[in-house]
Amino acid sequence: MTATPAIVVTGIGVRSPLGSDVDAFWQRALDGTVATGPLTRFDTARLSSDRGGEFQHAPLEPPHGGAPVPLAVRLADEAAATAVHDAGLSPDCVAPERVGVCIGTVMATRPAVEGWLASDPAAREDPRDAAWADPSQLSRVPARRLGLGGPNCVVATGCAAGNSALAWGADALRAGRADAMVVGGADEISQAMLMMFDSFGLLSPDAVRPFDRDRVGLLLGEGSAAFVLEREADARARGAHVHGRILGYANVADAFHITSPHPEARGAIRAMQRALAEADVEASGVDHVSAHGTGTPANDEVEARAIREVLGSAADDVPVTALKSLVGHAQGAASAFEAAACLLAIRDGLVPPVGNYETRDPECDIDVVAGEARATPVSVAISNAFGFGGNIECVVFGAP
Amino acid sequence: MSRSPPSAIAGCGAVTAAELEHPAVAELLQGERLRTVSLESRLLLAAARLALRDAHSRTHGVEVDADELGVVVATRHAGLQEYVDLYRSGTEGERPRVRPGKGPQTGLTAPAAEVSIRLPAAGPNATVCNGAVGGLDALRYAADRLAAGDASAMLVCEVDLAPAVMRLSAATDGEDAQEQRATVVVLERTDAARGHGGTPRALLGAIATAFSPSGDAAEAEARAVGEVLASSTDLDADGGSTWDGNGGGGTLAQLADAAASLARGEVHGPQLLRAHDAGAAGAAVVHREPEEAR
Repeated sequence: MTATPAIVVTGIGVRSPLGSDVDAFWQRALDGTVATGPLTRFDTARLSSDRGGEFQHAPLEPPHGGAPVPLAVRLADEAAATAVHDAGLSPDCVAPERVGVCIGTVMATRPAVEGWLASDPAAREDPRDAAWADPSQLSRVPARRLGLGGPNCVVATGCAAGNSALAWGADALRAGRADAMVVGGADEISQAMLMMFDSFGLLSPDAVRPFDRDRVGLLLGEGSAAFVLEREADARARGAHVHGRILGYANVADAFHITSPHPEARGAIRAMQRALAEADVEASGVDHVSAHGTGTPANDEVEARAIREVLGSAADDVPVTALKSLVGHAQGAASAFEAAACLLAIRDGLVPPVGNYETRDPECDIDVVAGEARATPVSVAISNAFGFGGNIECVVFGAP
Repeated sequence: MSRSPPSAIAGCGAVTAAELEHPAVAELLQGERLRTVSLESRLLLAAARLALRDAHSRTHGVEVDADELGVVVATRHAGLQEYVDLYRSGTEGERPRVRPGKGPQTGLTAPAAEVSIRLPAAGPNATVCNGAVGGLDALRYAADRLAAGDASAMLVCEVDLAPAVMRLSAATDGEDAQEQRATVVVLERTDAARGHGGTPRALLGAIATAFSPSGDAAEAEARAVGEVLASSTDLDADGGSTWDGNGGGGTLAQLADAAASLARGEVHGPQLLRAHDAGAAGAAVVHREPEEAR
């Protein structure tokens, strides 16, 4: 039997509310900078919260080809280009037709329909030609810009989509369908999503407090993060810098409820266990958990239960962080941001704090990183991502 | 290139919107609370149950454990109309009238989620968007999960209704109505299918997809077809024919037809399924189980 090739990350690109490059994103995360604030692009008069994590850091490049391009596509496009640059990928080292693109998302281009609906009906473009009608733009626009002709698709697994794109990319490399994969997640805040979460009573009025006793809900965020994945042997052969490894991943369905997690964390436990098993990592070998950590009462309690169940007594000393406290819930980009943070935590031996965390919740019996970044060696990190409808994808990252 | 071992096409099911009220189809959804559930999700749920029945009859009644049953859906527009409706309900009128029960139906993942919850199917679950090529991506994801041992069976689904917001006029409604269909194919690991004495319709062999950055779908399709044919040299090429995923019903409907034709002995040899969509393209090979393996 042929050994499964090791998969490594050789490039990272980020466009986030914390910053428009990896260094700014990481430094502000380590500082515990809360990037959620008043929303500027939306009429919030009808909402119970006027806050979110908007991308505001740098003007995005003009759309390619002249036609209007939805924000999520531009975010994905720019993060992908940055990741490819960071990886040093060029046609000299990898044939472009052997490089694929897979981007994870919740809503893809859909939010752009809101501008179309609000426009003068007489002046609207044909809906069949509108960019909002084709979610595939999220992966096709970066591939066109970068000239990449390998497998190309958009994967939607709810708020687990960033992790799923990493897994799809690793699958393609393991099977030899590509020699490099550009993967990641992207989404933008939209009026409809704000209204939907508001109708559930899940929007926090002020801030996101994952695992805090006084947590009341989430805030939406947006942005993108992208990665270049390669087989380790190929990356080493071309002298690429390796940020880290993808040791294992697992996708399961909670198969319980369209909006609520299984109260006994059944799906989350299975996904964490399967990902660790694939990574061949024991619970005692986990150095860090990047939680899904939405800040909603139900999610965090269930997730803490899953972490405790999977790690057992080791959970006493495994630092858990939740990036959504800083950037909001960036939907398809959320676990992509968290993947970047895991890789950087491995690099620096630092775990960012959970923002706005003040009061321990006895129902969340885990080691929450509070106050300031924690210095601790991180060789193995697991990133949890849970989506509406029960999509769950966990990824295990390892040191280079 | 390494590739997943062939998967067995154990069953197929398809339901059109016009058939939803038919007693035989309505019976498939009996007892379900579907008031807030989208048409896409309802069609897919009915098609999934039909496909599982078909597979059940071909696998000597073997049941698949819920944790071992996965779902992957190819779609482009699932939830789009619900998104538009939610946006309007929140922005029009004096006060928002957003119905919380409708919210989750606005997402691309709603049909896959509803199927997983209602069957139940707690194995891998994903949705893929790649236009007409999405069905091939879904097949490959399913084959990967089976090969990796993450599932014993996968429901590979395709649903692409034409949402009202995309219709220009009443004149186009009739054309759109023809496409209101969901198709589901049950894939199993071939060794598992052999183990329980089932008679799969056909086997799914190599799958490949490609993309043309310049938008030349023919070039991308040539690469994808070349790749799957290169991986299928062990098959007897006699009697092969081609199925067009851009034709009627979608990629999975064509796959189901190819598998059924093979099972009935109407065609022989490897059947080539291909599809393209604005620069993206893909291909797959469907074939009968070799005699020596039966």
